[in-house]
Amino acid sequence: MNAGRPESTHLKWWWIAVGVGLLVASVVGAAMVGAFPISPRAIVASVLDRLPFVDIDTGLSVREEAILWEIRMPRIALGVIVGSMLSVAGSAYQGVFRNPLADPYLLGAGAGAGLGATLAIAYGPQTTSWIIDPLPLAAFIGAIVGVALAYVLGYSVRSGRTAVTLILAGVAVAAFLTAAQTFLQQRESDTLREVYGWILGSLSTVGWGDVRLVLPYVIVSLGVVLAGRRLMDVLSVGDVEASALGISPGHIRLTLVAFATLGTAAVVSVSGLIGFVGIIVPHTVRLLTGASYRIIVPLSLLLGGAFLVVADVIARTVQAPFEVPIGVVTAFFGAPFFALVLRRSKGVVT
Amino acid sequence: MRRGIALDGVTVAYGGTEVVHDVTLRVEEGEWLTLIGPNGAGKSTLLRTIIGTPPAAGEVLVGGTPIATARHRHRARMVAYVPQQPVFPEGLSVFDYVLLGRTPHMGFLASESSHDIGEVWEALDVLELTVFAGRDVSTLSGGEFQRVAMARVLAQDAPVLVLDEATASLDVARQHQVLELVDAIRRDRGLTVVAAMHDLTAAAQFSDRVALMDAGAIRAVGPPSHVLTEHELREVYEPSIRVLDVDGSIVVVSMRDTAG
Repeated sequence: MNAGRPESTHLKWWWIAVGVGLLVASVVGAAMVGAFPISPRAIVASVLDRLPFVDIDTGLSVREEAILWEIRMPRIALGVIVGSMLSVAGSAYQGVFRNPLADPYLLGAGAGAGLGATLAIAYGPQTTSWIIDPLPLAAFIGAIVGVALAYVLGYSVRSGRTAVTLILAGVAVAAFLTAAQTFLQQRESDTLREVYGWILGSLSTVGWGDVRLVLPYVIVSLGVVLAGRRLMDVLSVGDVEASALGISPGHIRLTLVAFATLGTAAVVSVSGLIGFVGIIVPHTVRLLTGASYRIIVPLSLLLGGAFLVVADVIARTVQAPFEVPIGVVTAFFGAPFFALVLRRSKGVVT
Repeated sequence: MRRGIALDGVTVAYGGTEVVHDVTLRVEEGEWLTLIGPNGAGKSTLLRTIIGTPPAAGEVLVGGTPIATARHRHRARMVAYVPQQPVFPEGLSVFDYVLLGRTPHMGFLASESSHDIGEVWEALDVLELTVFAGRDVSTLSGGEFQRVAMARVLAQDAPVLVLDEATASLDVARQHQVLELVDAIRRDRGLTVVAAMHDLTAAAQFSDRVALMDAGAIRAVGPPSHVLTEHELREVYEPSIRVLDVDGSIVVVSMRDTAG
């Protein structure tokens, strides 16, 4: 009915198509690369072969099938999940705090997870003696506790409970938890290397277990943030006007932060603290499409997954057979980009 | 009082200091009432009690509904608000910005319907902003800015309009244009308008009644010709205020003392 009128900012189908295309290309590309190259045709055939009622001759040996499905694919799947989650959580944090430089670790999720992981590595029981691995559990709990502390501290401020007081509370909590973590790390110096390796992040997995472990949390978290993306646009006019437009900014912020943190804590627990993804990806989308979260969130989901899968390919091939921590790769590309965003932004919006 | 406003014994305090003190005021349906008074008189705070923030002692009724206990969504369907300096989010398009006005009409987690989109285009049409739809709101000039804010208010489709110095940043001509526009929409849709204004001449021309505030209380309320008198204004502002009659219209000016 509005034919001929200027285009409004809707999620255009071709943006989704480009996002899906990049994601599929990164997945197929990542599955090809390694000590045993596999052709893209064989990868596509093998994926189709696994669908119900489809039977295709993939031309792959049993050994190649095993490499593809037991080593590469779980790692790629984890890359997609972690990259999507961190990017979407990053966009959520940027939206609710109206701060273009916010990332999923802003309120202490990263510092809390780091402390939890350090405790588990330094003092935890041997992995084999527990039914579940204590390291991801401790990191998960640490991340949740970190953000909960920041929230409690931020909301104990008597007047002016705004996004800014929450950010400041997060800074204080993160600094404290990082200090505790560094202290422990120095004291138990024999575990230094392991702790350090964990903090820099890695997608090396032991099969599909990690994927199954984090997937439920990530699906719930992504679902809530996607559903709330329009409300993040409403928050962008500030608390007073958002309230006058019929939403409760405090409740929306709490809900979105809680679920973004849940997903972040889940992926951090298995991948470590992979930095910059949560900033680079939403900002790239923002630069390309504008500032509406109705578009930023879904496209961050697609591009975040693709970005981390590509970063992981670089991490495991650039010094093969040794692995560069993926956090180094994302930061190597992320830091210059971050500087660019800093130059473009007019300063922190409060 | 279907769409009118009733304030009863409204008091607002920040950290023990009363900013608004025991205000009782009625605004009839379809009426334009303007709050005037010096800086710090409590005009903005009193206006904001009508949208429910900050919480106030006493009672605020909009269309007979107590605003304090009404849900956010319900409030926003009754009252639209334009602050002194609206926030224009960098990077958001004019269309997306005006669409925010539809928030109280959408399901909590729902997307905009074709009806919502139609309402946005209609608001843009009324304000002749259709060609701006794709523009980044942060690139607009002051006058365009105010019209876009008005478009959002129109899209919100609330019977009560609260304007806090909404035209203060505009030049004389633009201010007049925007106020004429508000008045035209008010007459067209039967809106109730409550505004705060510093320009007393404009207040006299556009308001059915004005309320003169000083130190958190209402000193006088009534038709412009009754309240905008040299006697009342000199008590609140300064002794040099002159109220002139130009072709039957009230003009308020502050005269420089050149005698000495």
